[in-house]
Amino acid sequence: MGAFELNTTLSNLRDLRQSDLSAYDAVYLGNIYCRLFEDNFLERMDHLKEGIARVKEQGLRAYVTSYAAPRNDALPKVQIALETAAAAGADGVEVHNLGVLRMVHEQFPAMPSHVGGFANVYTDAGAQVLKEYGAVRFTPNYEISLEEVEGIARGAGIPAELQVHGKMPLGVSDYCFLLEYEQHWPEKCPVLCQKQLFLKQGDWAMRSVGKGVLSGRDLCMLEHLPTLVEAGHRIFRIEAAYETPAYRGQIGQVYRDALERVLGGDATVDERAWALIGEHTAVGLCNGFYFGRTGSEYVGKRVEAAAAC
Amino acid sequence: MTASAHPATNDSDIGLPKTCAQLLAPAGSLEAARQAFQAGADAVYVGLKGWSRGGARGELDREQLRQCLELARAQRKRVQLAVNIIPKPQQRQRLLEELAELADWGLEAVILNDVGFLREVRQKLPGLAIIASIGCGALNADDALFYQDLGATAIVLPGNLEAEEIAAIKARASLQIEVMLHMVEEFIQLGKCWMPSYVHFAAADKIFPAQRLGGSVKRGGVGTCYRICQQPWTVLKDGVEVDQRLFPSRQISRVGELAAFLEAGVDVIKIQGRSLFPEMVGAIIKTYRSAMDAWSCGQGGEWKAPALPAMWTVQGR
Amino acid sequence: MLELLAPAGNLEMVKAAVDSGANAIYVGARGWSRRRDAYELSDEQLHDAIGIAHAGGVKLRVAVNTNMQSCELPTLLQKMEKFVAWGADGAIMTDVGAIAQVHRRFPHLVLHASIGANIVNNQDVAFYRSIGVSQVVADTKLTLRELASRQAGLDVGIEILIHANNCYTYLGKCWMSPYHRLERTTDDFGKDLFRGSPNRGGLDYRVCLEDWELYDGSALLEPHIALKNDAFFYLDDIPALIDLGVHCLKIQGREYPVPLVASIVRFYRELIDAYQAKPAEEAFDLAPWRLRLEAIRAERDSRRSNMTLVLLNEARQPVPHRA
Repeated sequence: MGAFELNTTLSNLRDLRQSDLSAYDAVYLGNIYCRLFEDNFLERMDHLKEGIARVKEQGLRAYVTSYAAPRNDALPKVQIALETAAAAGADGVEVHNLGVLRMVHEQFPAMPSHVGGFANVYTDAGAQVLKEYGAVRFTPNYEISLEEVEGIARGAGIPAELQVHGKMPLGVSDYCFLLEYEQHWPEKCPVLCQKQLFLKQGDWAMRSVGKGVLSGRDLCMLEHLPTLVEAGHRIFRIEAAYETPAYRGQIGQVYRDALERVLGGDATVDERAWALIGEHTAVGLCNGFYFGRTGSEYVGKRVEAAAAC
Repeated sequence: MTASAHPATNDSDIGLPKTCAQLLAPAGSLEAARQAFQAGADAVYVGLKGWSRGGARGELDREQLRQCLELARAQRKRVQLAVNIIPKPQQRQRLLEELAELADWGLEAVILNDVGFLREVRQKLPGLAIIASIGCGALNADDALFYQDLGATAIVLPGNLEAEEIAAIKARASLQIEVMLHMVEEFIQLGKCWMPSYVHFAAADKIFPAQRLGGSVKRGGVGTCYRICQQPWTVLKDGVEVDQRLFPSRQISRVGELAAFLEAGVDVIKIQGRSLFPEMVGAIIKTYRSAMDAWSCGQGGEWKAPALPAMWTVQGR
Repeated sequence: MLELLAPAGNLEMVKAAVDSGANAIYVGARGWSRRRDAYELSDEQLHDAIGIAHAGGVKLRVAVNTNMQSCELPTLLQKMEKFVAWGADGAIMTDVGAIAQVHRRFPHLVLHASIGANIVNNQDVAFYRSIGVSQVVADTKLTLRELASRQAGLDVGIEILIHANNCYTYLGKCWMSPYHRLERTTDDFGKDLFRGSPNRGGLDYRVCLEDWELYDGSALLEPHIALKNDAFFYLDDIPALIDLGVHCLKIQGREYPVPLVASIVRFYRELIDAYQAKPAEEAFDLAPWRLRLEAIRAERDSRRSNMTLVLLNEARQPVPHRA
């Protein structure tokens, strides 16, 4: 790895083909919420092979993710995806489910496991256990504060991967309520969840992706990058599975530039970056739980940007 | 069911209520009926033990029905009795006698589901107003006319019709139009589903006069629609399992479009939910009451739908 | 022997559960279980609860099933020393690290994986078995088929929630509530209660039960969306579960009034006994049980609805500013 790793998420080959990934060092392939997501990498092994190849051709690392809550019936497919990932030279797999971590540990011991946010790492002791099962890095549960993250990373001796931008996952379900509306809308599954769907009530807003719920606001740690870097973090994610290619490309570039500046000791702020961020948010910005507060709050100087939409 | 709930105030055009539409609440218990009336319902519909769709849950026995009729009478409000399962031939005589007795007690309106039974009640108990149940599956003007010819004085239409469709029906049929604006929009049209009895069909308890068949919502139901549609079904694509899902169904509550339905001439706004606990009935009725009153007071333009109570979905229908 | 497990949010409920025929009772250690502190027990009360339960021939297990902070793990172990010394029959837990540490310290203590652990497939079960768990609470979304597979393929005690909620999301995999409101408070004993986070502190604002509008971008698509979150009572499946040979039928409900919980426990006690006493060739008629359950359901629904209103209301209040 270079000075840092900036990565993002892609659900299918179309997203991959349409996105400019030059700002990134690595990509996670696959949609973790739903097996029926259109041409999900995790269901299309032909696409997965091609996707891994294309990503590596561009000089990026290719990781394959896995379902947040796979039931027994999904495990055979998970198995095949892991086999495909291993055979195609994927650089790692992301696991959100501890059963899948166990499968990787037992059958693909050479494959690095990245523990994902839905695996509910809340304690250093927990991360330690998962390390014994092959985890080489972890995304803490999204409720964990920065202070706690440091303790966990130190205690377990494996680095944390932190989401720095994008809508924050808030929950996963086995039930897609959008299917209740298929009859009434022109769009059908698997296209339903690709609309920019928001659940709103008063000033509350959440992004619905059918079987998952994300924050309505975009997590944005741009002004806090110096803090993260100083604390020793070097792996950063832009959650963009349900965003446009433009979002992926432009936000990625914003963070690439900012991280290079911060690591180079340059404290200047690029106002154009904030303008771009403002363009790519519908509801506003938040800091998640990083500062130990209500997840939808924004802590920092850029409060006016946070409220913009 | 034609008397207005809004007494005439004066002869001027200003301030006269635009509609005489009634609000009809479900009552699965006496307490629910009380709360419904208190919250502003003009009428309630109740099930008679052994004889209504959906079964044991949410039915009244004869004594409770008597009290309900008295309660309504004291407030000058109305009761509809849901007798809307399809009786077997040997049960019809018994049921007719039962209804005749209840008519003596002051019962004025029954909800029926079976065309033959409907005609028979019309002929033999001419004093009773007959509402064709939602289980009849009527969806258009010709359906409505069919039931009108049979002798129904009113018909219940599902809340997933559009206001224009209602207006079209109103234009041709003269019977009262009731619309179930608050209901569960099931995967299969209400009244046309026998998935549960396909799976399991057993003669059940001996408590009730009707022979309740476990699994049949239409034949008594024993309180058990087995909710086949709400079990996780495995979806196979080309023989391969790809997903597990429930048959989609959702709770609708079209209080926000009340104005359109009232404009279209709906006579009765009906709320589904004999399985709802009393306070929830009260809260939903209150919401619809305030919405209807706001509309009839002419707050047309600025009218905003009131918020539905939290957990307004029907629990365990 | 099939175990009927009852909840207890206070000492009175412990007594009532014993009297109503529970085989086991679970209580939360204040600040450490997936319920707010009002429905949990202080150490002293926990001590008394063990006494009351054991005197009635009933087991008592302690729920310490939040995802606590790393720095709180030593305190957890200290508490567990006490509880084990007092005779607690087991612990219900969620956090993988906490489970590993408690198992290492108390290798003979029976560990139950809470529903908060979101154990959904057989590989998950195997994972938790390997770190010391011997009983697993089945996720409410699992089907009979999945439970049978678990029963057949794995050496693990299966606990089934027969009265609980089936949330829209998977329990344990949801933090919608603290996204909208999180109040960091510490109780008199210095425990951070994480008010608003079901995973960390137990009080959940049930934001999923808000009356949501659905937008496509800024265009309103649907004015009223209700995310499914049903409170259920198992009835028709009870015979099948008993026949399957599950270890434990669990009733949730520490937050309800004592008489209501007692009536639920009594209902299931009598139902289980009646079913188990029935000769094999006879059919079991559930109809009278169905009737009886309706009255209980109505009260439960009423209580739950009121509580939801209170919670949603609090969720709209600003969080007090901390110094």
